Amino acid sequence: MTQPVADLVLDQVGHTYRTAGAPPVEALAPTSLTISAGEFVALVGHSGCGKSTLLEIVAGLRPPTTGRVLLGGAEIVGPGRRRGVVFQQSSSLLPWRTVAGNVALGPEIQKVPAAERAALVARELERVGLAEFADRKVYELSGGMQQRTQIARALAADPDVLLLDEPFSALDTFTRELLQEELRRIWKETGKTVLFVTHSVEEATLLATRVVLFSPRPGRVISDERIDFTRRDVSLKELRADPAVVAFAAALREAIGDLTADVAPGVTKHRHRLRGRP
Amino acid sequence: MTLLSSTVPTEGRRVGWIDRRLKAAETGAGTRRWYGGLLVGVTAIALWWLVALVTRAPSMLLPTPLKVAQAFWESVTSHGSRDGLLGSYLWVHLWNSFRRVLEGLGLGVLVGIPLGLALGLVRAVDWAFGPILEFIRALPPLGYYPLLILWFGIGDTSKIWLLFLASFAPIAVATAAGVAGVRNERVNAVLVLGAGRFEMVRLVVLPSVAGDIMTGIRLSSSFAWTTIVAAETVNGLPGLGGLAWASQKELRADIAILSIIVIGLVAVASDGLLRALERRVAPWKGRA
Repeated sequence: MTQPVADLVLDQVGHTYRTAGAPPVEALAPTSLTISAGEFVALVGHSGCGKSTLLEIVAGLRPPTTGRVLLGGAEIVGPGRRRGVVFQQSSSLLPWRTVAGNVALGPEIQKVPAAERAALVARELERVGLAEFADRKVYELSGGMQQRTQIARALAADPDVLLLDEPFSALDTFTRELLQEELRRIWKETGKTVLFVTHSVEEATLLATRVVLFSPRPGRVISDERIDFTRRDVSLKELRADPAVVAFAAALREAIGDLTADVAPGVTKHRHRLRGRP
Repeated sequence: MTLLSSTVPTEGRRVGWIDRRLKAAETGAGTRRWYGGLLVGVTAIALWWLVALVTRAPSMLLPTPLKVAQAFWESVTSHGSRDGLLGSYLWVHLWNSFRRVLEGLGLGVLVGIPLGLALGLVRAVDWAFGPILEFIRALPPLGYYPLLILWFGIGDTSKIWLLFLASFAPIAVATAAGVAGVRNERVNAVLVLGAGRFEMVRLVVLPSVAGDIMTGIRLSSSFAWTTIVAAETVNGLPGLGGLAWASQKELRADIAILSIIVIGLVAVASDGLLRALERRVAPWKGRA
């Protein structure tokens, strides 16, 4: 596996949604972050805080309305294979292809010779534990296996950065915990830079080396903390029970809770509207 | 209802329709049985026979089923110098209609699919040709058939033009609708893997719309079939429409009824075939 060397620089990146006949909505206030190669960064916040928008901007799927994103010094202008994405919806898998066929997409697009491609696909399927499901249709798989397929597909294209948009949010608790452990192992194995959007403070605390907390709309960074629980040589199960982990997650939750504490939905909306004004 | 329940009041109600649907989804089987249609068909033939006998209608107006069966026999046998009905065997009539549909529809497919893809993918094409296509699609083909006869004569050329014009627009519109329905997350999935626009079309758009294209072809095929039968009233022999049309000149209602039955059976068979093909092209439809 090639070692990623490219830093990801977000320079005053912001996004405002403009729809005809409605006032513009500022989803993400201009945000600057520098993410070093090999970091596992969790972006945490409430629904609608612009964290997913930020991920789409880094993926190149949505142009920012302000600022720019640089990867290894190059400005991101569109989607490309150096930034792999694991989408929230497993419907991003191509249902007319098998599991292996989906994982082979990246190498196919890069015109990797067939023999080499097969080895690559086999290796990534092995890595996510789907080797024996290679020839299955993706719609025959469980939600957890579909997300594993997405991870394998992203890895097979050998990106520098792996972007994950709440990839486990639709899974049941047991499957989610299993996949968290797998993702942590994969990150350690591959050394990829990971940008991980979640609304779970526990998930962020367990997996990330850095937790970036966003305020509600318009999203802005309200805290940016480096942690290293995930690097400890213990299982996530043990880590979950660790008092230091519990305390950190509780502090995060409190910080998030503070932002919207005892504010009724209607009032929140009103407050957002006020904030949205320039 | 069991014996025990007679002492207990019931709570809630069942709706048979949704129960059957759930059951069908579970077993993966349709719930319609073939013998229902057979029963009604046989009853209809019996009624027809009864009416023909009771009213003693002249055979040239309402022949009995037996007369129609005899016409069928006549259509597949030779009678001295004359073969079949109106100089051709039934299968020659059938093949001629079928061949015209195949040629016109084939051209419609060849033009309709690329046009539909262009409509869905290129804004300028949609801007320029979208409205015209809706106009052409709304026209009854027999409305412009006279013009085609003037231009291309009464032979096969005008008929094939007619079927082409009748079929390419529905196919193009169905293809364009399919392109509009391609899921964004699937397009994005290949773009982040490094695909360019042509690879995007090859890897995502074409497989996504294959099912919609088949739906368009199926619609066009039934449209073309009804159109050719009507168009064959003009110099359509040999052909099923020509056969049906000529029967009134010869005062042979039995031939007209035979033609109708054959036309209907061919339509049902070809639709079934295309439907099976549609499922085969997109087995994942409705499941992913």
